[in-house]
Amino acid sequence: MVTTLHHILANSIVLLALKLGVLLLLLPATLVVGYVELKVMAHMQHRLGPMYAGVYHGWAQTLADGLKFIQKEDIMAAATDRTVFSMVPFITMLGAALTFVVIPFSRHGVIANLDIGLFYALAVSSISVIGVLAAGWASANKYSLMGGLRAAAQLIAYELPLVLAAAAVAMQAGSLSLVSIAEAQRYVPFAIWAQPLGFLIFLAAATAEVSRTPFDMPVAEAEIITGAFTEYSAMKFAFGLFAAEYIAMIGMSALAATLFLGGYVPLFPFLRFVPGPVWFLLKTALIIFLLIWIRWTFPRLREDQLQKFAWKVLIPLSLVNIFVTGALKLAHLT
Amino acid sequence: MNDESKLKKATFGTGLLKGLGITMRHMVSKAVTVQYPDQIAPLPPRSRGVIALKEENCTVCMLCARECPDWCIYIEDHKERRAPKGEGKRAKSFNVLDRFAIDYALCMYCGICVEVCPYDALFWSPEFEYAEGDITHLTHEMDRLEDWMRTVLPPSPLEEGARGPELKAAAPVAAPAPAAAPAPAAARPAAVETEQRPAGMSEAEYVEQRAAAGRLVRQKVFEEEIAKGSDPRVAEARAKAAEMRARKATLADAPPPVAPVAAGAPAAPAPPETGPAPAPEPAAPPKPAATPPPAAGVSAAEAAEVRQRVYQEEMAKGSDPRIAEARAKAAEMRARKGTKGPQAPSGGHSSG
Repeated sequence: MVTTLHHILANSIVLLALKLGVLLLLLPATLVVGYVELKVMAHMQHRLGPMYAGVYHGWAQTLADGLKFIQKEDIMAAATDRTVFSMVPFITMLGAALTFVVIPFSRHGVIANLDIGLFYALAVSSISVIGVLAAGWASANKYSLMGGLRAAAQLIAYELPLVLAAAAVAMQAGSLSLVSIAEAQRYVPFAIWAQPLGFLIFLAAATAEVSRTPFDMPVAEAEIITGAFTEYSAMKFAFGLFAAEYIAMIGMSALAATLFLGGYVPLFPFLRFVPGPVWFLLKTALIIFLLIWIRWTFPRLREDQLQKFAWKVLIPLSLVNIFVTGALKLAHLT
Repeated sequence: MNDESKLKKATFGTGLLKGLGITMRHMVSKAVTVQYPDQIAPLPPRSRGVIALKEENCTVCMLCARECPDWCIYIEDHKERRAPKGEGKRAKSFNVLDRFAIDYALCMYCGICVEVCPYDALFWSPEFEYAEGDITHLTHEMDRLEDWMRTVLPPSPLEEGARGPELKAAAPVAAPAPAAAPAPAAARPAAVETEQRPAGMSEAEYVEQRAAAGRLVRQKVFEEEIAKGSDPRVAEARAKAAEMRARKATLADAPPPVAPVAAGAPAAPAPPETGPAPAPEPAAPPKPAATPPPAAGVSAAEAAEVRQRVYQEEMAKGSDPRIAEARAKAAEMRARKGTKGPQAPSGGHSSG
């Protein structure tokens, strides 16, 4: 029985199909994370959150929201550049979802274990910047344009600390492959032992990359009505902004979990019986919870404060981090 | 860089952690939401929901309809006559309520109608769930308003320290009365009017004596007023005023005889008849309010003497007879009461 399964799985096409099936889980994952965010946000504000949709504590709230978006009218202004306008949701989703190709759910549970996995993940997550710029331009709305430019400025500014913090991890683990990085944390996660500063920098940069509070000036829901995406309605909005943002958030959390918390590696050796994917999910969930917690605690930074923080604080800190990591490594201390 | 920002740098980040702590604390504590249709949040007492009508109390005075700022109360009535009570008596007419409706689409729940109704026919009820699909159904007619009476709460308890309605009937001078009553009708505690206490008396005694005198006066005036049929509150007020005057009266500032009430015969100054001197009426009609302060100073005879003397002085000076007489009379009064004259320098006892 096991051998049959093994034979089936050994067939690379089947395996590939299974692995790609993981991507199909992304949308339900978005719904779940969206619901969790609503509930956690509500309880942090001393209220209940969705209780009605789906009878039992409103679990179907995000599903109902999705259905609502489907039945909305897709409006486009006359001056809109239609081709580009319609392409934007694809671009942002692509930028968000492609990260999952290299993220390991377990030792072999990765769609493609690239040797340059980390490099690939960071490169691919920058595609969404183009999406935001395109959204701002194609909307034929000067406020959207400004919103798009500010968003692009923020995303570009925070690319650097993100990459530098990841670079320190690569130095620490001695490889760019995410599986190797996870394996290098068999005994102790990097967040605790070798890269605490790097962890914080990566978290801050990741929050900014996803345009979440306190770095959500480009989106600023209540104030500039999502800036670059103002003109988007119905499914373009639901996918292009809403879902893409959540998928990117999950992707960044998964990346942070792999880089700094050890991914699928169990925290304690005696807990080895818990399967890898469960550990991975737990760690990702922890980081997602951290991101939600931060979002509903802190006020947002102004664009200039945001930029100052990136260029004057995070980049120098991450350079120092790289320097120290290198020095300690050379001295065989870590 | 000054010290303040240095301090800020040192504690950088702790504010962030504190903020995170607060949200975490809120997250794990119970939410305060009351899920409305299934649960109802407790309403404060005296909540205003809907206005109920107690038809039997309504006399169709129309005050509520008139005072309503929104004109949302609709009243219709007709007059009927009762049978006359006897031969030749008028058949008394009264209002009969035909229609009493409140339009809750207009009502702004200010409560003026409830406040102004003199017969307590309108009441507040905390009921608020009467939303309708059709706006015309929001005009509640008399039967529905009567229905709302079922939901009216009993009046909320009085606040601490409030005087309830039962205090109205009690006699306000009940306390001093027993003390003063046994005292004989010594309505002329002679020493009260003088502004300096007699030599042989201590300050405390003097004050006490004056207070006692004041209480006597107050009791007396109160009884007089009640006997005349004044409202108890009015009687109490006047009695208190009289007491104050009795206690404070000095030679310098004899209270001008203002007081509204005319106690016909001021009982206080016992020996008002001014024998020889023609005193038209005892201490001029406006004066009666001053009656409570019992006359002190000199006796009637001496006062008459004073009057004579002053009269002659004035005539000698060549004043008009009427003026002379007026001044003489005034002097006599002052003498009798023991108050100082206009020129009298110091307080003292009987002038003259």
